[in-house]
Amino acid sequence: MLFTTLALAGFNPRGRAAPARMPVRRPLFRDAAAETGLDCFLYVAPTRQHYMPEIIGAGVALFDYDNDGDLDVYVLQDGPVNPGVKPLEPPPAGWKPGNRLFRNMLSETGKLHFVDVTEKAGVGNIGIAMGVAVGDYDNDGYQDLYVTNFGHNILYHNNGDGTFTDVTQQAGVDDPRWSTSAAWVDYDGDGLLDLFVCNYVDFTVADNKRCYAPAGELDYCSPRSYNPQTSRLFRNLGNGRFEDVSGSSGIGSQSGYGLGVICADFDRDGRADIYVANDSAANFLWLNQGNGTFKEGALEAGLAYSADGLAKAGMGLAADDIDNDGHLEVIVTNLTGEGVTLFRGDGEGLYDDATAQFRLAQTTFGHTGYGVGFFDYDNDGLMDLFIANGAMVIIESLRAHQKGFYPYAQKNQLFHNQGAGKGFREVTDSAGPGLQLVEVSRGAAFGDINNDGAVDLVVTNANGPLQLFINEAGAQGHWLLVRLESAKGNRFGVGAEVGLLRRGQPTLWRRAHTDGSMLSASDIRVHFGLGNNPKIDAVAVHWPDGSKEQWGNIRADRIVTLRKGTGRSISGA
Amino acid sequence: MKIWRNGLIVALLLGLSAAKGYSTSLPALPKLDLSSDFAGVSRQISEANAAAHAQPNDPEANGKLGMILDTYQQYAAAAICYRRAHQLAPTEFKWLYDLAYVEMKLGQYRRAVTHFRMVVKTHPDYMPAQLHLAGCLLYLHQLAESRAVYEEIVKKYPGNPEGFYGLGRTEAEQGDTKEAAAAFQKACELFPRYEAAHYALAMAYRTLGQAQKAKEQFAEYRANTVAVPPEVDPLRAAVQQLDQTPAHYLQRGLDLEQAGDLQGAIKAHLEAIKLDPNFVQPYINLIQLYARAGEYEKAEQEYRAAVRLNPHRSDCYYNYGVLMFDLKKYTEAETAFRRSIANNPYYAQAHNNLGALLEMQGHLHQALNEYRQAVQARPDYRLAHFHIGQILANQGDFKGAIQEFQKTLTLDDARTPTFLLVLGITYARAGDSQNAVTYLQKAEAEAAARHQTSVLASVNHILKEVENHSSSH
Repeated sequence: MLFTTLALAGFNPRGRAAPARMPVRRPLFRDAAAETGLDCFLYVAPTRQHYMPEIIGAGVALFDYDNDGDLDVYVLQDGPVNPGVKPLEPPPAGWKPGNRLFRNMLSETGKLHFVDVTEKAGVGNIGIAMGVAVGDYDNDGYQDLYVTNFGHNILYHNNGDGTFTDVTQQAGVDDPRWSTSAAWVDYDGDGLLDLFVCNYVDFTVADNKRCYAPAGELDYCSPRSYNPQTSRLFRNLGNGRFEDVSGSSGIGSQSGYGLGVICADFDRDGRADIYVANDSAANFLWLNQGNGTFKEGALEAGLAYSADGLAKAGMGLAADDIDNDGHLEVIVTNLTGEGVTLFRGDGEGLYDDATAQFRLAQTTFGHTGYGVGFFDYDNDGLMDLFIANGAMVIIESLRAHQKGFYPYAQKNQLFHNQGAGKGFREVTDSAGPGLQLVEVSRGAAFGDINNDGAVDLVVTNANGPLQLFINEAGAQGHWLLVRLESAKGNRFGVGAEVGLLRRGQPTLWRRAHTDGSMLSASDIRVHFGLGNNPKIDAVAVHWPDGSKEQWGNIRADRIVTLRKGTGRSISGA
Repeated sequence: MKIWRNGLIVALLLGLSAAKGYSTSLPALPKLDLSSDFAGVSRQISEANAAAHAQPNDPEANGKLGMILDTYQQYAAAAICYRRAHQLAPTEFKWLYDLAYVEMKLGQYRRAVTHFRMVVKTHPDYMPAQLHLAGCLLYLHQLAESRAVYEEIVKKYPGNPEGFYGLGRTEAEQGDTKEAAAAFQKACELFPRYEAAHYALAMAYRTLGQAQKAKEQFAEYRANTVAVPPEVDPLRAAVQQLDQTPAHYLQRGLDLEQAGDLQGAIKAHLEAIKLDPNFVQPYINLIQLYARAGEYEKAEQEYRAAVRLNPHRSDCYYNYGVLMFDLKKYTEAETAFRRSIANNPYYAQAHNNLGALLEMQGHLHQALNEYRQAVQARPDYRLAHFHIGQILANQGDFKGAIQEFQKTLTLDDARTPTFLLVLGITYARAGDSQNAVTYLQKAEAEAAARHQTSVLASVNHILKEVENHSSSH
């Protein structure tokens, strides 16, 4: 049989060499939402009044709420901003209002399949949801949820039995304003996750303003039509209660149009800082002074503006080491006509706009970027890039389309990191049919949802379906997925830096975080792509409390849990 | 659909004529799905569209449609019209320039570069084209060519700040930071309020390790927000002036107000109302503009018109409240601020002003409550902190007052000397002469640096008193 096959393949009656067969190219991602039971339409209820919240939300979270070893999906939904006003389009048949929690049955059944457990879990709030932050604030080993709304926010405590309890009032973490992205961060190093909440503008339904597209058609207002708001910082007191330290910490000293937030040690002083993307205004970098206060230093750090010194419409954020030099790079998504801004770090707290060098200026110019993330989709050891796009100003050419009542759709984008000064190359066209769809994408969360070592994506679409993109390209390289665990404080190691050491190659540094993107929360586990060499010399962890450990004898292509205190203590980088 | 078919016919006809001389066939006229809430705009677009369809071989008709679409930021459709106009009149450089410009706005930098190059070749004296060519090349990271074009610009136009700024950008990208700093410096000299150039210069100094100079330039940058050299581009001005939306006139009014032309601002706002009598924002702005012009009756009329259109606008009541306050009609002002807050409970300025009114009436507790709501809505609202501090100081709570006054120092601006003075006085009243002297000396230095003579006189007077008082003890 083998002989015959070879003979047939090589036989050429005309005596010429047989043409080489083109390899069958599988798309990089497969949209598997429908087949896995993630059946969720995100209805925004747009109106002729163009209430601003209709165009902003909402996000999604990937987290393992039941600790069964696989990622579950929590989806947020905007609702009607003013129930008294008839929407331009009714919701589709069978649509369910409110936020939804989908349980991943992979660990139980061996098959990727989701079951809607919203009602049982008690997390189906019906409001005008915006963002979600995931973190285990009480260190009980179960990740909790903080949900931001246009209106009152909610802290859901994970009871560990498949249910959650709304503890917002007891905890003292409500904010009745229009909150957007939020992040958990242990800014004071006490092992307890504190909470940072972005607020946007002082829009109210009664005070809705009328704004126009350039040709004079009613459209959504720019944030500049309203007053900016201050962010909030809640310090975790450790007894289930939080203290609002927005004033004393300095966070409340400046108003902004906060949409995105990411926490990392941007100035390399060993403390978690907070970077906020402001819409149509300078971004903020809240530098942690180590004494409970923050100093805003984005301008001096080079993170406030793009190279031209202009404030752009900052929305989504990601921060990672994309050139494997050990220093953070930061990306901010902006409006159509602005393109993203990619800041390259020097490892000492200074950043410069390197968007053009990384070949992202022109490719992103025509899109309004929302959710964003660096992730190594092909496991080659270099962080690639995904951007969820969707306009905020009418796209006239979409008027004649099916969703002409909400003409803001744009294509999402996938970029491959070419490495070594070559920047990013857009590969959306080969990314699969799901990525050719044009939707009004908003949130994006990243995580290995089927535990196969390849990072998958979940994307929310305003007035569109939730999309689950299963990564089909990860098998190209070896990988490692690291789960951190700490018995005492900061249970999941939020804010830790994890380094993968290989002889003769640069150490790959990644961060344990759930924040970033926009309005969304990603897998806390740390993923490494290793390319074609599975050899790992060691894995180092720089814990948020400053301690450093290293583990040897770790093999590739598996999920490992590194428990604080079980590695070899190290000093230095 | 009818338009589309006509376009195809035109394209087919022109395809025939291409064989007689045109190198490429004309693209079909764009299919327009534009809708506007303003009849004037719709009419303007449909008339130009009809003219282009009626005279498909007329470059002016095609170009005019392009300009109208361009002014309403319909760049893709405008590009098609400009392309047609250019093909029909290849020697008329304005269509090619406008085509390149909208390609740039669409992010089609490679195409834009091709067309700007052609413009520069045939019209080397049209500097905006050179600037855009260099800018697009910079964006494409074609640094050597971008730099060469900028070098040519600054050689030819040594008084052009944008040329030096762009040159600095390319030099900085190429790692020639010293040269870049020199170019940015020159740009700042030529246009001292050049925001972007100050920013770039600060970044260059930062790269060169000159921290103090970087700090100074960042300060200049902060002080010159949104200041750019005036654009001299007659072709673009011709496009911009076609905009017939009330929003355009509203924006023009705001720009004129910023530039200090109060009457011009009022006129532009009235134009906006003429175009759309139901657009409430111009009425709301006019309350303030007329009040500043001393035309109180007109201001009040605008208020009533605005409320008739939308009785829920918080800024309408706020502006009216300020007007009534200025007219010393305090009861009306209080009502207006309360209405403003009812529609937007986070309106910090309305809370502050209501607090001031209540304080004037001696309702200190209620005033304090309003000020506190103001700072709750906007913790960086220095005036409200100042007011809280004043009440607390008058109540003898110097510690609380000092805490509030400290919060007024978060920004360094023209008010800083006054805030420092008040803080110094409060320390003195609290018996802390050391801190009092410290802050008064700071106030003295800041007032002197800003040439605030009256503040300086007050500081000197109080400083002497405090020093005398402390020496006597």
